[in-house]
Amino acid sequence: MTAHFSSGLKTESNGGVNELHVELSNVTKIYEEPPEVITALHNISFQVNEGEFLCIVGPSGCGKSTLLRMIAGLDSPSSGEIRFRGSLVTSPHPKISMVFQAFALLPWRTVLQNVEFGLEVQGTSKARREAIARDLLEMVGLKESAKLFPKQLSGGMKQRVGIARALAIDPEVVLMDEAFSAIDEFTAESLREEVAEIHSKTKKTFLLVTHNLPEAIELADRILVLSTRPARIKSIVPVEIERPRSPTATEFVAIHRDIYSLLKEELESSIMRHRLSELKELQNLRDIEDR
Amino acid sequence: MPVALLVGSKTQLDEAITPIIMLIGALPDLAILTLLVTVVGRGNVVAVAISAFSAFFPTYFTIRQGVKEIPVDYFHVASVFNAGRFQTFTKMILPSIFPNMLTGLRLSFEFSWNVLLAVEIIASVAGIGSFISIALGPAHTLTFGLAAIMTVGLITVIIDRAFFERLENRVKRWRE
Repeated sequence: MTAHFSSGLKTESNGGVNELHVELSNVTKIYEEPPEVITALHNISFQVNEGEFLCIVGPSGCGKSTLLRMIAGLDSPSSGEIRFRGSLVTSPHPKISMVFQAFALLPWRTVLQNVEFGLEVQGTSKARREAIARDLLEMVGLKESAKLFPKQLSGGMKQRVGIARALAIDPEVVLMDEAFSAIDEFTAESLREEVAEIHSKTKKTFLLVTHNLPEAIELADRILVLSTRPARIKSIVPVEIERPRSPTATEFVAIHRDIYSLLKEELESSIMRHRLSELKELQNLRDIEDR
Repeated sequence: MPVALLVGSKTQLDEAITPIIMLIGALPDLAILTLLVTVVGRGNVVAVAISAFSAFFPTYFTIRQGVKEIPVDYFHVASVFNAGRFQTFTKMILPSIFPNMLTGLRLSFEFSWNVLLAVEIIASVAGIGSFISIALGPAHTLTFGLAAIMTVGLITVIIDRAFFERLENRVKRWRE
């Protein structure tokens, strides 16, 4: 490991380990697509500590990714506030980085150039950004692939590049949007292990949105469980299992069961609500017919 | 090109402008040419104008399409890594649409070449087109005429190979 590598990854911290890092208060997101008004997220408040690994799980389509996009500054809440280190997030912050579900590598750039993207935009000198990018590529095991184009890579390799690119700008917060879901399970597992290692090494704050429960339990310090749309916080579950975590360990299974039943209950009640509204509609129709 | 870039990214603008452009593009180039000759007279200006006019459409439509096809994720990448407007344009939008731009320019090139020759013949503007028409017609110098036609063909192929083909091969290296 060279000097560039450590300097490229070191996060300037104010010393406090459990410092408040990302804070959401009463975040609500409403989409208005006339004539419909859809409340995607309702009154979401939570805090993420520095160096914490927080996973966000919830039924599909509940607005998890929207939540992440808002923290990234790509989207803004309809009401409520998102703060990073105490200051309001209204646009993308240079210390908040992101890993995308479908990798989103720029196809005309080589692997190395993709990793350099953020640094290039910031105006880092060519020699320095190349050194940082090469170190990161070595870390994710793609040292030999620096000159390849994305189309020559497998899904797992692409996401390694995506992770290296996210880390290259030395972020304090890494947002991961379903980062392992477009990769085959076997590759995803080894990538998760690497991410866990990167997290423990760099002490950066990680936020991962996922619908994969075992994945969340494997990685998270805490798991935020969202309800169906409009999403509210159903529960925040701490995962206090020693790492590396085995999915067959008793505690692992117990947490899985707990969250699973939370989600199941949520889904069932939403199905009930849905049926109820259907029934009501049917009743209305009958009423009309009767008249 | 700037129009196409703008139109590709702004749906409302696209809806307002593109039908008009489509309509203008559907007008027969050579008929417009005759009109121009009657109004403005013969001359290089008319030849260049009509050739540029016919070159505009293929480039316009391919670039517009290219901008529309940029995955929204690329815009997210540019934003997350804090690229400003200018950098988003130079480092993301331009390279994204480059393959389309190339196709458009290649089509435009062939189009305007043909139109230019036709213009020279119809409007009898001095040039290789009028040379061909004179050689094949009043001058009865068939060999000169044929030689000129071959030259035009050769020039087209050479430019196509030396310029467009090369750039397209570069694109093929990364394009999925």
